[in-house]
Amino acid sequence: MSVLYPRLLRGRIDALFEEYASVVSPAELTVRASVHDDAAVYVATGGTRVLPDRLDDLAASVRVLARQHGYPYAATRTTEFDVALARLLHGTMDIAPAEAASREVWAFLSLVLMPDVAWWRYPNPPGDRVKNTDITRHVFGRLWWRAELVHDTTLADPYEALTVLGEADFDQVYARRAQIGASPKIVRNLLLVWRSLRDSGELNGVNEREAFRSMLTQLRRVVPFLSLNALDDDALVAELDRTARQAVSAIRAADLA
Amino acid sequence: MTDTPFSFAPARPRPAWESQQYPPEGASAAEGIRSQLGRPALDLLTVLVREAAQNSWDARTDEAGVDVHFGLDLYTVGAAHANTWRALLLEGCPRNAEHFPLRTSLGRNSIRVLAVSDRGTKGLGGPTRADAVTDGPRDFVTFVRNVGEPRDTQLGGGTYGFGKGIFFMLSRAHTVLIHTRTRHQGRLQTRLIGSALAHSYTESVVGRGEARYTGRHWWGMVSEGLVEPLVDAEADEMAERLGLAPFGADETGTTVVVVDPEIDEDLGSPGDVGDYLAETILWQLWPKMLPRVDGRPAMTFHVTVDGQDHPVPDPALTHPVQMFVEAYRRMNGPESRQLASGRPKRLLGVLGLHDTFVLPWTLTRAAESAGFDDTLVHHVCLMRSAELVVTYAKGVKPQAELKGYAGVFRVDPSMDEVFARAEPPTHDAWNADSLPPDERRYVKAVTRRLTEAQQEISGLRVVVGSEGREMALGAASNYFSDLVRGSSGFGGRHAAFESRTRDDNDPRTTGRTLASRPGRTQAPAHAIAAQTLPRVRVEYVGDPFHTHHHDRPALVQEFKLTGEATVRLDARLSIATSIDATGRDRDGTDQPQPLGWVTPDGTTILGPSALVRNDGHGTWRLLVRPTEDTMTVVEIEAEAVRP
Amino acid sequence: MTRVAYPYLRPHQAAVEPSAWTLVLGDEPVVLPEALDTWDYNLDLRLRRSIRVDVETIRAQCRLPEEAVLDVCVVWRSSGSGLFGRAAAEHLTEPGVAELDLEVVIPGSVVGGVLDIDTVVVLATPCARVDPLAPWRAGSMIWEQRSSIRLQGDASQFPISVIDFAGTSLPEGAAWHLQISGSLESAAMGSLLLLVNARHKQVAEAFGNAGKPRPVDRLVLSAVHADIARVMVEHALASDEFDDDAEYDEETLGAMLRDVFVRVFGQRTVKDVRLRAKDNPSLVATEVQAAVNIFGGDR
Repeated sequence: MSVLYPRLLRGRIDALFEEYASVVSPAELTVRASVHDDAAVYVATGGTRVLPDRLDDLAASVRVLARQHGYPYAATRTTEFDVALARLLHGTMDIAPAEAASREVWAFLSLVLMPDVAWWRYPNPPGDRVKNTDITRHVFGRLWWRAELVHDTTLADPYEALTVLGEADFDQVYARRAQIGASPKIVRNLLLVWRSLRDSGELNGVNEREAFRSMLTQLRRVVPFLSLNALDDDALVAELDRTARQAVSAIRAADLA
Repeated sequence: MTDTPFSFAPARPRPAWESQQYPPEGASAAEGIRSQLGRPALDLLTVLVREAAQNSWDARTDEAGVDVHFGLDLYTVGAAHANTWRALLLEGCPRNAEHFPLRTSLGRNSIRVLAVSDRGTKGLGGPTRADAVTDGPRDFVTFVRNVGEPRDTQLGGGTYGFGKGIFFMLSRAHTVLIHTRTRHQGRLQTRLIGSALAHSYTESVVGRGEARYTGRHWWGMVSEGLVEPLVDAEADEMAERLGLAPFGADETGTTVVVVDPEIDEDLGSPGDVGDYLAETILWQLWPKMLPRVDGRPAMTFHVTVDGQDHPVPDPALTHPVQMFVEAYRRMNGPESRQLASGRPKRLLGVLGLHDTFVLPWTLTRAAESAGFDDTLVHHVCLMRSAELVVTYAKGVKPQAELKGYAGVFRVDPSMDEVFARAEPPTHDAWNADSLPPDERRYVKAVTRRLTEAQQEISGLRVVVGSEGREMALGAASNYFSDLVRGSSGFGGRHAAFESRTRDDNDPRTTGRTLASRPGRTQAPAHAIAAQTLPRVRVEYVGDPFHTHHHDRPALVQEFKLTGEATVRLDARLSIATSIDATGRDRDGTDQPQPLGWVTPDGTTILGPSALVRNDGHGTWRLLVRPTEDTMTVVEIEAEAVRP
Repeated sequence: MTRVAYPYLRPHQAAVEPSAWTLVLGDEPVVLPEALDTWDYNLDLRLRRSIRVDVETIRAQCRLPEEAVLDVCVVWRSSGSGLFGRAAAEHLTEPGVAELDLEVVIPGSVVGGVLDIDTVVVLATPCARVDPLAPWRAGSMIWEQRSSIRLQGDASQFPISVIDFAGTSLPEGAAWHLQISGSLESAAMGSLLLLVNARHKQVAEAFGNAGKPRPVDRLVLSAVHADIARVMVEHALASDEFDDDAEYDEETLGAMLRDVFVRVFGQRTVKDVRLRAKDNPSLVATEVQAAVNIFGGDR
């Protein structure tokens, strides 16, 4: 049974964003944080509306985590914070992917439930960090999706792959996810393939980030005619491995030339 | 001065009473002033605690490190002092006890007083005469002389000076002693004066026949017909003789001694009265006991009865007041909700709600005075910016026996004045009807919003502990959709990722052609050329097919050209990217290469572009070298040119 | 205008012949519609189709080596969730012509918006590159066909949740409760919720069957519908903010109540109806019944 989360109406999103623009310090937003907004709506059916207590608990746990990373003062070790927050959000929200794909749900979290945390993580945030413009950039939404795409419930630590890639590289996968048609299975295997290349020394001497991006470019070229989603795990890993190796050798060749 | 009522009395060395005669232009009768508070709904002691504490709060010095302290001491004047009281405090007063009930009070075996004191406050400062003009404080005049003067304290608790009436109402002698220490003209000054607000009366005066008196009397040093307070050493000495607690060296503040207070006998023993006072402070003033930012409480309190201390319970530990403390915390935290009026849209204030199981508790007199009739807690504590309890507004009853909720609502500073005007002199309610019509709506809106919030909290309980059933309700939802016409459903427009659904012409569905993109549908001749040159259009014949060229894989795209003209042909090739094959890679070094063109008569022209003569008949071919393992996108442009 | 070319040979479209997709709702399969307006996250999609694959022709026309393994798969993509997934995969092991019945279930919780369902024939494993024009990489699409279904549109829907009233403070014996919270300015989809008691079999079943209601379900739904309309009208009348001059923003509770009010009472003023409700509340309730066409045959 999935939990339905409030979605913030668009007019309200812009109004709140403008209102908070003049805020000097995130601490000022603590008083604006709330579990309720008159302009929040729910999808008509399909789950149980989240209880205010639960929203409250969620915000409280996020703040506890934030405090460990400097909140309400300047954020420290943000990479570590993001990974921990990805686990927390994905592990506790019980939100269906289709709900989590609603940018207005995330806007509710960043503008109503925890504006203080959002503004603390991204002081003077550009709109896409806190509004409903781009889920791949959203302070909270992108982390939930990051966890959704890599988690594997058969592992002792389902979120172990969260740390394989740095934020910037993951953002690349994330941004191109739709283009390469990546299901969570593909993203997860992509990360595993990359890690095993790295572990076996195949990436020594190449600019890893450049190689990774080159692999994504290669993938974008093959997906018009290769259906990765149709493949069994073994075949999928083999194709991803082939593509990754091609990208790495292309980089090596370019370096030589 | 001969016409003033006091002119006949020569200055006397000892303090004495002076009674106010009606001046020719009239004055307020004492009864009228006493009753300015109206007939309070609350009992007198509760009103006194609220009013006095508000006045004390408003009078705070706000000096760093100085706490506002508020105390109530109920005691019997000791035998040693009682004689002084009887000797000095009847000096110069009317003979008739009906006109001056202090006579009766002091005639009793024991003299009972309630000393209401504050420290860390400014004391009653400023000039002592009402006619003195000053830019500074006028607290003394306001309290001792004037009647119902508006206060100017910003966002203060007691908006009118009516509150002092309660001291005189509570006193059966209608008499108080005012002992204050204040900063005056650069130094600390102690002042002591008596004041009575009894009954107006008529009395014969030697040589003048009948005279009418207002019932207002002052006790102090008469100077130029005006009663001035005892000051400095004189005041200290007198206070000592009367057994009043002295001020510390640097201390400022005020003690109002209510003579012969009327205490309801139902309250029981003096000890019970002490508990009642302590609990009344708890219920009525708990917001002032909470720690401020620096961790110190805003105000401290003490209650003694006959020297016995009655500690004021800690609100954070005392049930059920602690529920309100928690609601207060939520009101100031992220769980707060803002209540706003609809038309016009104005922020009214913030609400904190706390719902929980209510532990069993005993309904005390003080709780009853605060508006609780049983041990159910379903109240919202209303306050203005000063954070003094206005009242506990009862709401929707809790849905289960042991459930309850407490709320705290605080008016937004921008609305403070409106709500202040809606309060009666006792500050214990918001009456919309006492406001002009355009402001009534705000008070009404608060009532409504509170009810909504309370209903919501009851409503929310509805879902607690009950998991929704996994049942597809889309159809049912549609059945009822006519009742929410105009609201948006949710769907594709919430898609997180740009979704490019494939066109009907998707080659993978039809095996034919990719969607043409808007704005790029054709390769039209340039506008200028169009005037003189014919239009040439490319019509593809089928999809590209595979072949070999010089033993390597190649693609062939067949096409026809319309229009007789000399035509320039250009091949634009790219690699399709992304799962919908809608992306284009044109940048790589490994792009597909146009090998050349074959004319309808079989002539081969090498290179990416060609200048040819078209007669409008026959099939042309473009030959392409594809890039391995990529999907090739072919686009042919044709343009008529001058031969 | 562009044309695209796969990097390998592909068979004639006719080498694969699928039947139409059928959607299994309840017991009865229907041809997959363009839109399924009865869908929500709790509805898993069960789809069936049969498919005939001329494996021999494919092998020949694509010049595939003997060992090449072909699969028929169903992969989907949801615009609502942005997710992709595989719903079925069958090996085509038999030589000659294979005939298969595909049955897939796509969980409602992972999709939304528009759902694309692709039936594809792919190389299941990589194979030797005997012919430069032959497909060789695993996943190479040899044939594909897309079907799409819209699961969510932006049409209005009434918020409903089925719960067990025993876990609540609502009377256990009640069948439904319309929760209206918030001010008239708050968003309707946030402040309205119809709670249906799961314990009340007859009513809960009617809601479950609303897509294909039995006669008894129709009566229940119509009765609840009329009751909800009545409660909304009463709520409006009881709110002194609801008056003739009020203007409400779109999508607010006030706008919804106004819409229902106008449908029931036409041009009559709020003031007038309020007076009527005071004098004769039961008549107003009956007027609501008439306006929403209770038990009407055409609903």
